[in-house]
Amino acid sequence: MLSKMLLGRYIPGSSIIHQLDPRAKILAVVMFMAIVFFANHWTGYGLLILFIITLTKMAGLSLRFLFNGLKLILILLLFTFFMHLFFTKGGTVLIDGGFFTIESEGVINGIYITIRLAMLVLITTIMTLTTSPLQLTDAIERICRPLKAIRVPVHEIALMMSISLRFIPTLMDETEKIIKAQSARGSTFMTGSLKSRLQALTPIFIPLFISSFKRAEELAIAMEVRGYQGEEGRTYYRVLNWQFRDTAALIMMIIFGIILWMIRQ
Amino acid sequence: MNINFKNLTSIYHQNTPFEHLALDDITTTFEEGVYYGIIGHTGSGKSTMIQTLNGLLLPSRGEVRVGNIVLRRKSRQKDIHQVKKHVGMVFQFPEHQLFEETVLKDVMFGPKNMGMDRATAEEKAKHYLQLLNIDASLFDASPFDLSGGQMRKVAIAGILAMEPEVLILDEPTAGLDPKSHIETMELFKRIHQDMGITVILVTHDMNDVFQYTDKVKILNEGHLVKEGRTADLLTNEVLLEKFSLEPPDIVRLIHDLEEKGIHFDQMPKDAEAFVRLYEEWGANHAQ
Repeated sequence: MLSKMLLGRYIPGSSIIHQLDPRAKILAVVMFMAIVFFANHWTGYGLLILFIITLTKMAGLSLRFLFNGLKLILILLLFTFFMHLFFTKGGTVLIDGGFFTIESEGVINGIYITIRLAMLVLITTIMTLTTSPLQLTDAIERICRPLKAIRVPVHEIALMMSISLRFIPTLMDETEKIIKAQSARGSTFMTGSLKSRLQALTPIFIPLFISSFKRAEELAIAMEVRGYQGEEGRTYYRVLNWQFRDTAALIMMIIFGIILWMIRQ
Repeated sequence: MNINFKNLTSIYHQNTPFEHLALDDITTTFEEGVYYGIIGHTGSGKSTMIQTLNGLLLPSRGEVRVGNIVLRRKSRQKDIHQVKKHVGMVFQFPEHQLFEETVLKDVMFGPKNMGMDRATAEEKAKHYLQLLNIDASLFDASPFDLSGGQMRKVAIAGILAMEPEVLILDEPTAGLDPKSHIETMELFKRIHQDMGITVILVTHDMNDVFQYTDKVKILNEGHLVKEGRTADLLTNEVLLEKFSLEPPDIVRLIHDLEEKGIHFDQMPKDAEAFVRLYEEWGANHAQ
């Protein structure tokens, strides 16, 4: 059940996308988020889709797998589509249902906006699928380093992020284990009324909280024992190495943006 | 009540890049009243197998028959719930599942879920807590104030109070001190003998398997490679080595002694029996 979650998962690999510097990937995703809004008619959207497909293939991921991940936000996509379908007016009236009308602008806008949203989700999914969470936090720490000048505790925030990311799988495993243990004791949170389902959550959350607190305490002690005292004097085990291909990737992203801007109508 | 596996196949994360075949076409039977051991290297499919036994996992293909209930790929929640009534499961580190305010309430959780009324559940809970040597003065204490060993006993009582006909034990002694280890294993032995329930033990401790189980099933990479009487399979060092399993200490010792020309009439099952046989042998050869 929990293991089907694709969001925030990492699939190890050796593709060119995997090897890019995580900083380059984050910057490229941020650029893409802006570029998506350049497209304003079907050629632009076609190019965007083509771009994502190429990226997926380059990362060695299967398309079907990626679209399975999209299912998670299917409700959000459908909601967006229908909002536009019913509330965007203009063009010719396609269906006149009395108290509502569906007009051609609504259909077109619905499709466009849904594609836009899907593309945004897909590119972030590609990023998280090809970049380990640790690399991502490293990259964020480096990118945000200038903020230290205005006393933002960048290192501590990055540490908090990597610890939380590190413990997501552990916590998921633990949740699954406790769910199993309690359902072996006849707990039923899959059936029954909403109230009884909510009540069935107590036997899951209490053990989970207890073990999380215990683990946090153990981790703090383990870090102190090994002499951790903040950023002072720390060197890095994983050194990020910006290479030509990273610059090239960003340049390609910029060129792609320019093309999309030029074919705007 | 027998449990039958028929062409059972279990696949994790079907149709994703993480797809993994955990159990491959297994057909076997767990007979009533027998103490079973399931052994195999890490990742051989042991825990998948036991979770399939009580409906926590449903088969991807094939079927599991627990008494009259049949579990398949798409079984109803009602049937799955029924199976849990008959097959109790003590997970690894069961003390992690405690959550109630008092020891007694925690033990009553399972029985109440299985439809027992309050009074019966309380009676069962008290009975099994006493059976596990938990003092009545602790019944109203918070389970989180107990020692590790006591917490585990409370958790085990929580399963026993559901009065299952089959009891699955997943590494029940992991992390226990040697004294509690023996106590716990002796307790399960007593339950098995006195109440006549089927026990299925999954562990890496070959000594426990040798000492306590009647029959074993050996798993290797998702296949059931061998099953039979414990006394036959675990004394076969060639077989065990083939599946990278350690022979039990006593078996190794006996084989060492045989090489030195000391032969016993029978195979001792535990240290005590070994010492007795050794002394007998010594007395016989003193003359």
